Amino acid sequence: MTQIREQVTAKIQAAIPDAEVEVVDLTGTDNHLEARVISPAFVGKSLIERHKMIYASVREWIDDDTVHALSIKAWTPEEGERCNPK
Amino acid sequence: MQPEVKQRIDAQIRENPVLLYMKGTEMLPRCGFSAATVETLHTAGATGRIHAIDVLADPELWQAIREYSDWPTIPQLYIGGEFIGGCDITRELSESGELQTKIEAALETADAGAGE
Repeated sequence: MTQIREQVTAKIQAAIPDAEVEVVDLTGTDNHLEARVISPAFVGKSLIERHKMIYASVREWIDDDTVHALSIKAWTPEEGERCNPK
Repeated sequence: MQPEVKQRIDAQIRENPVLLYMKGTEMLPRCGFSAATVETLHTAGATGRIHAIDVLADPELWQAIREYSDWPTIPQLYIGGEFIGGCDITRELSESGELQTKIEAALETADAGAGE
């Protein structure tokens, strides 16, 4: 069965098509995850709005505790460059 | 959401300059994200001024606050009546110094109000 981590990546990607999405399993239990999302769609959006966009795409899995914890990093391409230059 | 619960939340937000809906208590957090948020608030100068509410002790409030803030997870932080966000946003605002500024402003307003 595909890991939740991969399914969460796909759901965020579908919700924010132009995003670069990376989901990391924080504890190896496939339910404490961190989503790192870089997208031009975040430009001009507050942190809360960005996080809400991402939460909305996996909301039912948060509500039913499939995803017990989801940490979020939501950057614009420019912030992403500044925060972790390749 | 029951009107009575909504009024209770409105009052909690209005009356507390630094308000944290969390799992567990400030002294005994029962979730890593709640613990990290408490620590971030202490570092930002809110020690002794946090009004923490344990949603584990009040399941009805837990469901209501998720709907009220339109935010699916706990912890949830309010400063000066403004919804700030969860653990990640609190940490990011702390790193930029914005969290400290918001806390100082909210405490000043509250203390000034109390002094009248």
